[in-house]
Parts: sequence; C-alpha cells; structure tokens
Amino acid sequence: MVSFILHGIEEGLLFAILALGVYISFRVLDFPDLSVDGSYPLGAAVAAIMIFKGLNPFLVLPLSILAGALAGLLTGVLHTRLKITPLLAGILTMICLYSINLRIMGRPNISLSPYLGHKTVISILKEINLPLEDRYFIPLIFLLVVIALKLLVDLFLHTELGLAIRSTGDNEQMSRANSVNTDTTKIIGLSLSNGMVALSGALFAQYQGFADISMGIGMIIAGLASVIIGGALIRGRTVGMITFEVIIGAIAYRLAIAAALKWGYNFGFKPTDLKLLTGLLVILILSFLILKTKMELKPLRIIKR
Amino acid sequence: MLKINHLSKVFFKGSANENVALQEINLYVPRSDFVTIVGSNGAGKTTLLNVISGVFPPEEGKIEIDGQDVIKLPEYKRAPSIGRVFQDPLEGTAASLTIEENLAIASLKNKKRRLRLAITRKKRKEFRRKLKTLGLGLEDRLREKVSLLSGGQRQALTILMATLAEPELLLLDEHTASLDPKTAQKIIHLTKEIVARNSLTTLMVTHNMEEALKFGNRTIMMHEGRIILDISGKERAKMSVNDLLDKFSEVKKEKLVEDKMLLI
Repeated sequence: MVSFILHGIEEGLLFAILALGVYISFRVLDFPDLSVDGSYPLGAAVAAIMIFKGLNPFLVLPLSILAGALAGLLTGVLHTRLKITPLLAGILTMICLYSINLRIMGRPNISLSPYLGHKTVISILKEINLPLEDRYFIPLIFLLVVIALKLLVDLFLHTELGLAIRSTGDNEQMSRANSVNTDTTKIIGLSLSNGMVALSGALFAQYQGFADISMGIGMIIAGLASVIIGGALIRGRTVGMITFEVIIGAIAYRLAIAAALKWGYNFGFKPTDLKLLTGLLVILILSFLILKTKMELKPLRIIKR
Repeated sequence: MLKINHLSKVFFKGSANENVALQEINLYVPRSDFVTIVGSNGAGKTTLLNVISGVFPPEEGKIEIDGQDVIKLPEYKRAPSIGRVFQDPLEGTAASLTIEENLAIASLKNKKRRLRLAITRKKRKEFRRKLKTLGLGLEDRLREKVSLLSGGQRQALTILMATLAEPELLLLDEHTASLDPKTAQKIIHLTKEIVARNSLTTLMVTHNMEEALKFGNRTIMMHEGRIILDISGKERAKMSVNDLLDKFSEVKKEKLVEDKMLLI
C-alpha cells in the first residue's frame, strides 16, 4: 500500500509540471490549448532519442523544453497572426506534431533500458548512495523540483511581463488600451506553457523508460482534470495558492487513476477504459461545481436584498 | 493636439448591412480643450473614439496626435498617448487582478514590460497616494481583487488608470451612463478634477445634454456619422438645452428635406 501511494505521488508530481503548463494556457491566458497533446510526446520524443544517442539525460531536458516552447510558439502565431480560433490553432499544432514526433523518434516508440546502457535522470539519482531509501528519495527530489518550478511560475506571473500576460487573459480590451501587445503576451504564455508540458513529457519518458507516439492522447484533459480537481479541493484566490492547488490536483488525479487501475478490475473496468474514466471524472467534477454554485447563489441573493 | 482630416468609416462594406458610421469627419482639437460630444444612438460618437484609439482602422482619412500621424499604428502602440474610460465599468479593469496590479499595468503604459517585479514598495506608496485623491478609501484595499469593487469604484479606478501615465489625450465614452445618478455625479466631479489638474485634452461622449453644455469649453453634435454642430465660446455660453435640441431637430429636418429632394 505504501509503495502504491508513493508511486502515485511520484507520477502525480511529474504530472504536476504538465498541469502547471495547462494552468498557464487554460486559466491565466483563458486559452484552451490542445497542442498539449502534441507537445507532451514531443518532449518525450526529444528526450528519448537524445538519450538513445548517448546524450546526458539532464542535458536533454532544456532541449525538450525548447522543442515544446516552439510548439507553443506555432499555436500562438497561428492564433494571433492568422486569426485562427484557439481550439483549431491547438488542434492544427497537435496534428502537425504527430508526424514531427514520428520523424524525431524514427519509429513509433523508443525504449530506454539500463541493460542497453541508457542512463536516465532517475537511474542517475538512484546511483547516489544515501541513507534514504530510493522509494522515498526519488519522490522527494521530484517534490523539490516541482516546488522550485511552482515558485518560478509564481514569480514570473508577478513580473511586469507576467502581469501583462495575466491581464491579457482577463481583459484583452483593457490590456490593449494599456499598451499591452496582446499578440506577444499570448505567444509568450503559450510557449512557456508548452515548454513546461514538454518538460513533463521528457521526465515521464525517462521515468517509465520509454517514449511512445500515442502517449499524448488525452493529456490536455488529464491536465485540465488536475487543474479542476485542485480548484475544487482548495479554491485558491492568489496565484501562489492556485499553483499550489494545481499540484495537489495533479497528485490527486494520478492517485485516483492508479486506484482505478488497481481495483477497477473488481468493478469490471479494463486498463483501456482509462481515458473514458478520465473524461467522466472531468464531466462529473464540472457538473458538481455548477450544481454547487447554483446552490450557493440562492442564499447569497437572500442575504444581499 | 488632435487633428482629424477626412475621416470615414464604413462597417460591413459591400454587404447588405453596409453602415456608414463616419463620413468626412474633420476635427481639430487644440491642447487642453475639453470637448463634449452629443448625438443620437448610431450617430458615430463611439466609433469616432474607437477609430482615434485604433480599435479598428478607418476607410479613409488622417489622424494626428501631437503632430504624429498615428493611422498606421496598432491600438497598443497608440495607447501610451491615449487614456480611455469606457461606458461599461467592467471594460476598463481586469477583474481577477488586484487594485494595485491593475494600477501597475497602467503605470507601465509608456514603458517596456520587463522581467522584474511589477509591484515594488515604492510603487505601492505611489499608488496609495494616487488612490487617496479619489476619496473612496481604495488606498486601504490595494491587494483586493477588482471584482469586489462596485461599478462606480471600478470606474473611478479606470479614470485613475487612464491618466496615470500622463496621456496626451483622454477619451471618455459615456463613462457615467451605467452608474446610478449619485455615483455618476461623483464620477463626473472626479473627472473634472483630474482633467483640470493635468490640463488634459479631452473628448467626452455623453447622452446628457445638460452635462454636455456644462462641462468643458466646446460641444460637438454628431448625426449619421457627421459633425453637424460645433460650438464654443460665447455662442456656447448662451446656448440652453432647449436651443441644443432645437438645433438638432432643425438639422434633422433639413436632412429630411434633402433626402426628399433626392427622391423627387
């Protein structure tokens, strides 16, 4: 049981990086960016092929981030310059990336194995001899990385540029009237978001020991699920609280999925039902939230008048 | 200060819904003039302000602000020299950001936005000082979200934001229309104060004829995309609301006659 939970937390923490990226596009910019389904495997593909070719597994991470950021840049340019709607711009990038990812990997999947001499970030961490057991050490490192990333995102969103990105997502008319180039802020936000998503993909590929062309399917919904679950659990009001709740949401989501996989058999579920379950979970939470606000509105009105 | 020549704007050009919003507008506004603009719905008042601020491009014409031809500049590049307050209080502020964050965005209007903290202790002090001049107690609520403010408070904040970076030109688009009479009075008073303090060149669209004659030093009446009346000085001082209304129906009648003549 302990290892089951630790495992879920490990995966949840890697997932949290993706969720932070989705938070930037979805909530900060108010841009439902489906390119995530392509940029997540893109990060994984770049990491896998580079490690396969013998590059240091830490050095591949910035390359993955850069690749993801370029994908976000494409979506942003499609939307701002060619005036394509956010959804379609994201889908276009996603579908282009499918072929690009296949090109990068040269085949549908690459597996990284210590038996073949491939080093990953995780295998290197495990080589360090510590009094702490690996099963505690690895999630601890992941936690520190995620916290560092969260603080960086928080800090960025409070800079002059970050604030302009936030106001763009809130009120475009007001932003332009205050001399914010909303095209640029959208492009920067999307690049940042997809860079983080690709980093998550790169780490996940190293963690599970393989990259697969289909590993991105439904990732946007999974990311969204994390953001929504976190929001329902904590309902933070400041940027720092919201990024925190996103991380908690990602871990909760991953644990829920792990539990569904482990005990779902008893209820007749198969692993192939996973995407369906994720979809249903998001629908359930969204309808729950609507029901809740409806119930809350009524007494509020009585108080006000 | 503001020079407009032969400005025309047509919406849905070439379609069945073609709508001539501005025709051949010529307007010169010297520095520190306060111009009130009146006219019926669809007269082109808001369109005029939107074309000046670059929300959409005109079909024809020239706009100069402070000697600079701005016609090719996108909205965000014109923004440093233009302060705007909209009819809807929700339009001028970002609801999910705090009061001080909104002010920080406005304070960077004429500067490059960099990777440094948007709100410093020095800035916060400055914001508090400026908010105090509004007399609404907002200086003690710097870190509250703007969504918690009332329409009047939001509009007051928008006026402050619009004038924070010292624009050349202030455009007010019926900025009191959606407020209750008492709040509207307050906002109008505040507007006058801020405009006078910074001796801003101002265009104010209003539905209120009395207000139009009472404030500023010049009044323009628009009808069907044209400026049909432009009064200032003694002529304006003598004019009453009824005179203004008479003038309006006079021009409308003349127009009707012209149209009839065209048909015959």
